[in-house]
Amino acid sequence: MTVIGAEKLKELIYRTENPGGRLVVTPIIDQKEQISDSAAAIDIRLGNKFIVPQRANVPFIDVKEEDFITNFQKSAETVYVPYGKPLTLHPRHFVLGNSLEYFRFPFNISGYVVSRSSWGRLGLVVATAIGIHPGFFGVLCLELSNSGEVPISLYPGLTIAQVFFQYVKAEPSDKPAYSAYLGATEVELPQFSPTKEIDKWGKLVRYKLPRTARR
Amino acid sequence: MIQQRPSVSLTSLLIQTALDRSRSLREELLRLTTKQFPNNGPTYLITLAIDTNQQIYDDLSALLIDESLLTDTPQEEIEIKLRAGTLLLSYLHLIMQYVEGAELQYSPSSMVFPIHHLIRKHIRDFEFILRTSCVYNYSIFDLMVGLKDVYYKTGYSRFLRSFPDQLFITDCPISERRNVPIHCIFAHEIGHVLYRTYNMSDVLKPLVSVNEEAVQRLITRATRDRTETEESTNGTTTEVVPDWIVEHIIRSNIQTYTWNWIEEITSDAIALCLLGPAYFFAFVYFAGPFALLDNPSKDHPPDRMRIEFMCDMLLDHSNGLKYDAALEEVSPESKQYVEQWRNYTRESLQTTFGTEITTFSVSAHSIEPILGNIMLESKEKIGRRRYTPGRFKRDVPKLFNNLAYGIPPNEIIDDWETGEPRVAEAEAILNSGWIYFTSNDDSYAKLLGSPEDKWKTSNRLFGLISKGLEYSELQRHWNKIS
Repeated sequence: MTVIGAEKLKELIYRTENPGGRLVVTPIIDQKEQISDSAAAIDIRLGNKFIVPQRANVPFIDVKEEDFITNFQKSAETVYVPYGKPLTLHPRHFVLGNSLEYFRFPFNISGYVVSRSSWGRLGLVVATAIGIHPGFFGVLCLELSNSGEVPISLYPGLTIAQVFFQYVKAEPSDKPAYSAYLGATEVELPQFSPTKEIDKWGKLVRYKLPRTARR
Repeated sequence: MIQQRPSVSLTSLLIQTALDRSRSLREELLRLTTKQFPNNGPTYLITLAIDTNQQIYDDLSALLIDESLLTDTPQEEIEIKLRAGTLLLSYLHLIMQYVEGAELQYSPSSMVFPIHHLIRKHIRDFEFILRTSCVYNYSIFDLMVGLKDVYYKTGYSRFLRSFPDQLFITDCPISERRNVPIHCIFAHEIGHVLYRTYNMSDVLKPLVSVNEEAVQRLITRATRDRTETEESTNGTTTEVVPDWIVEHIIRSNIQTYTWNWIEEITSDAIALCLLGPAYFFAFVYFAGPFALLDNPSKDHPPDRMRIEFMCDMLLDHSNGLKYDAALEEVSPESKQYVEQWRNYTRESLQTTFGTEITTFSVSAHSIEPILGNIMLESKEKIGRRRYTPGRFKRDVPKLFNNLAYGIPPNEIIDDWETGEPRVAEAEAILNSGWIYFTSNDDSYAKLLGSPEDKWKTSNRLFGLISKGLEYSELQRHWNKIS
């Protein structure tokens, strides 16, 4: 695994004419701050839109239920926070946000999102689904939670996480890995349906175990 | 008739009722202050309403504090204060209506900057509210006209001193709030504002000449029809409408339609000057599916006539905008699309009206000869601030390329050696969006890997264009404050 350094990142972003091979991170509104010369990552900023799950609206979310996304939607409120205003994240509270920046990865580069140390020291966890596949394009979803003991104010526009980039060794594909979130321009509700998979596993455990195993 | 003076207790009750209304209104206005809006217009209006309401409350409650004051004050003065207060209170309720639907999550907030930018090129002191409503229509009006009227009448005009000269209320359909490219229709609404600002009717109206022979035939037919109706109603006595009234109604209708339609068509011409082909694409997308191409109304000429005129203005008319070559170079498919519409709407008056003579057809035929003047006048008034084929050719292909790769069209890199990005203009972003949308059926769906869901694909693409507008605004403002 080769992590791509700052100079190469700038070349991939600003000086690669071929759109297919170009790494897109936009807008980088302060290049010096976001791609510092000695770093091997790009600092990313917090966007304006948040999905805030509420504690009391639904009893629970069972992903086996066909309409669990509707239930999640019922339990969540969409909030827009203007620049300069805070969103307060209370201890053990969780919200979905997105990066201000929009990304497009070429087919030979993947990435991963990690928290910035300064925020981590306040107790903020920025992302749990951190991997970004080659060919992905869209804004990054940030799963923000406060694992500290005191509320934290989050201000849209602040650099909150960092993305590392690395070359993919396998033969590059010309199609991105399909994702329901491909091309998303703002944070979205979860989109998956594991009902069939759960049913399959349910059938499996009904098989009788072999005698030897029973002993 | 003897004017009875109400008792002190009745007057007190009336004032108390007005005070209660004022308190209820205050609660509602405070609720609105907790909402987030994409620009300052709604906040200005809410602040104005809160301040005015407070003043009304203070003025009326002063009368109640001291009963002797109520007894000693002349009845006329009490009535004036009460009437002013209650009239304004009911008007303040209306203000709330203009703010609802303007919240960040309900309005197409990424269009706020382009609209502001387009108006600001021509009008300095204004603010606007961009809101969504349940009606499938776009509209604009200046709320300041009504506000000034009511505030001056009621003696509260001092509250308007720090207010902008014009406060535009712009409406768009809530169902299309995420569909940013269609909001290019706002350019037409801005056209209405500029038509009035530049008094364009003063130049255009004198050029109109109505076909007097057709008018006479309409009058003759109307009076004959009226006589036949009278004769057929045997035994009943009906009052005969005099000939001069019939003639007046016909002439007045023709004049109303003609003046309204000239404003509509000129607003289309201004919109094309402001946004170029993007407005044309938005218009046919907006109006096309509803198949009302041949339905004129009092306010709007038939869409077929408008589209034919817009095709002429966009393409090769001598007074037109000359986008032929630019469209051909940037996207032959898009040019072909415009030409298809042109063929479909050619000889529009013949298709819509045929040989029949109606008030609508007389109006349409009286406007047709001055279409060239409308184009010329619109170009002159918008002047150097208009979007040009040169700028279209320079930027749109590059931004088109961004969209083709799923990249927001917010910045352009002209020189790949230096890699210095240039922030894209809103006009270029909207045009690139439309050019991509009209010339590439499945490519974005393929990019997303879900060609079966066309609605989702369109939404993703509209989101990307919206992101382009949002980012370009952010970058431009960031550069200013840095």
